[in-house]
Amino acid sequence: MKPLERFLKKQGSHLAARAGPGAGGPLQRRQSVSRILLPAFLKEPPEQPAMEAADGRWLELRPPDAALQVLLDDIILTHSLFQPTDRFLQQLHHHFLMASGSPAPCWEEGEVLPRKQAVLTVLLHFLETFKGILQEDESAGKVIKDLYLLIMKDASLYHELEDEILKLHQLVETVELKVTEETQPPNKQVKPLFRHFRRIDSCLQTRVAFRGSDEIFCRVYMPDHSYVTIRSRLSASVQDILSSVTEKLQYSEEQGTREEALILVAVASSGEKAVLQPSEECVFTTLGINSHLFACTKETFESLVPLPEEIQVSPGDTEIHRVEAEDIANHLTAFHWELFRCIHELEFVDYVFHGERGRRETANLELMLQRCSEVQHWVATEILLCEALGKRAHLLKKFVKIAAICKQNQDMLSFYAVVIGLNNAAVSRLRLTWEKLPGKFKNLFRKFENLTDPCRNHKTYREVLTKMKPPIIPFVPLILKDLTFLHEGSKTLLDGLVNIEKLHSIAEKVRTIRKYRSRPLCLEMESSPSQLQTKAYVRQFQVIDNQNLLFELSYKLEPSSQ
Amino acid sequence: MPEQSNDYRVVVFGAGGVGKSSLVLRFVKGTFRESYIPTIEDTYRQVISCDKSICTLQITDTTGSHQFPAMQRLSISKGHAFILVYSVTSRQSLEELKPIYEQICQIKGDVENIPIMLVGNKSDESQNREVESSEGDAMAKKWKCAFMETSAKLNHNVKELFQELLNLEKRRTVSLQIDGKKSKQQKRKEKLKGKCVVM
Repeated sequence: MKPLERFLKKQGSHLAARAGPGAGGPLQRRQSVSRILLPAFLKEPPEQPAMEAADGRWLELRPPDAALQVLLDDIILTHSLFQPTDRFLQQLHHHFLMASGSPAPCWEEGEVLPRKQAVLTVLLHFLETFKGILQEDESAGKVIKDLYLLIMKDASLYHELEDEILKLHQLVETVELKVTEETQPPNKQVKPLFRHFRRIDSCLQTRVAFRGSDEIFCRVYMPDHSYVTIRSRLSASVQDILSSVTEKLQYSEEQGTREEALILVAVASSGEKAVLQPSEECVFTTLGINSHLFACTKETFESLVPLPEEIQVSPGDTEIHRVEAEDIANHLTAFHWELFRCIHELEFVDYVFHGERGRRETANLELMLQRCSEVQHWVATEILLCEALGKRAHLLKKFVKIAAICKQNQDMLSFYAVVIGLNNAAVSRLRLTWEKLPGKFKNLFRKFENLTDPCRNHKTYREVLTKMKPPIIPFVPLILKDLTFLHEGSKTLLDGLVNIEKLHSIAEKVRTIRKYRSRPLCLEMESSPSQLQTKAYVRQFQVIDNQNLLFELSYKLEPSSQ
Repeated sequence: MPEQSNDYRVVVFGAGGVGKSSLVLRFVKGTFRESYIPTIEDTYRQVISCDKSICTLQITDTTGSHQFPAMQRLSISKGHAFILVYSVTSRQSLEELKPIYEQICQIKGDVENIPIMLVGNKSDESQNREVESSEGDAMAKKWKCAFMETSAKLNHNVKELFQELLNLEKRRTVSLQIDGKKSKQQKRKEKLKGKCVVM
């Protein structure tokens, strides 16, 4: 922030793009930011009348000014708000061509090299940021390859560019944009995504990020609870899933004539049903915890009933009673750190803005949210399945302890989830159990409730968070809330101008996440068999996510006192 | 909510391409197709009678081509009866059943009380036959299980296979109720459906 402010002070300038509502003191700053970047967004360049308003002159940047680096980062992170990524890259490409003197020479001789350097800088920053997810975007990949080849052709002419070109070389390699023709896609392993596979397959392995092209297994149920397992791309559309199911069930061949169209329905454990539209994509990671996909005809839709609860009600017999609070908390933190690290920083931007410009998958972020809700239900489930009052109070104490250790680990996601789980109405109404909680823990929990209190826009939590040093696992849902407010609170485009201040605020948020993850999280844990058992338990909770059922259990434990 | 414990679970094992899915789909849906789609894991449910009341027959069709040892163990431990399928056109496919049989023994212990059927499928392909019926029979004797040859394509011995398997169950009386009592079964099915709508 500091260098940027200083930079901006030097630029006494007039309004170029308007900021959203709530302008006041900071308005001056917004205006100047916009001006530096935006000559290109403002007016059509005379040489190229065909260019659109939001066009490529952001390339007029001259690195390595620190403030410009920040602005460059803003643009790279958020360009998809006003322009699809492939179009963004095409402009870069076009700019490089212009600097090379084709299609028409636009600049003085002495300007060519700096302009090419600018393109390179932008490209390098882009590749650095998009590392890991570029393979999913074919058209963007193609432009980058073209541009890369162009630059390589030039490499011998401009010795000053040597360092950048070397870096470019490495980056193109790390993002696996092989320039050779006809490379075979690497044979990808099918990843276990769904609980029934997750449970027995590789839950102990370190999580790696999911990408849209990954293949996964998925069960699709019929109204009578028969199921078929299909293999599908993570990004498959509902239509694709349905045609795999139809094929498996032999609808197409022998019953071809009286074929009835199938619909895909997500059925939650509570019986709630949602029909998925044929064009929807990546539906797998958006399902609720105990929701399942059903294929049925329109006639059988009404008769769909959820699968029976998977969980065996065998009171007080789960791992949680045997293991120390500290071990559970540390395994929670370790797992959530893995999940958090799998989320690409652009997923945060895309999650909030998706649907507006070309959809990129946000599977890893969705899985983290799913997990957050899973932990909340796990806490409630474990407590409500514990029949003996004394044991239950003991468990309550253990969960408060777990929350405390998670907080100490700076794992605010687990901390929040456990506290929310204990605040579940089915748990908080257990008066007898709470009464048995030792005073010290009652006080501790009161503090935790205070820390998670949403009043004054989560002031207490935010203050605690700013005092922490990385590594931190933040309470991710709050980040999404902030981003949503930033998005809905101000317009992206106004009179054809881009609201750079908005982009900057969003990018700042993303940089905070970057900071949280800037240092690795290391917890000391042994790998004894009992530790592995705990690890497996923590990574594959069986939970009840049907609130009615949780209430039922709760009233059975402690009937209402009337 | 359907009672899980009331289900009678049959698991079908065998190498890839021997016709496990064809047998199951012929039995469940009465259909057959020539094209081959490798199975990962499918389960079909049918209402049958068990100890004079209704229960659900769950037939789990497993994978022959993927390797999921953990899933295989889970299927075995949850299964009540097993169908081991090979193709009479491939000696190799009979060989490949051995480790599966051994694993069933290992997990279930006393296999003599567990219904197991060794099945030689594709009996219609007499020209390509590699395994004689007598060899299958001999293997079944060695494994102390029942034996049958079938053709999913010609619908030969398919219903019989499942009925025989259920007959082997001595711990309870399970029956498909194929002949005569069909109307009664049908009624029960409708009764069940009625229930679902109410829910």
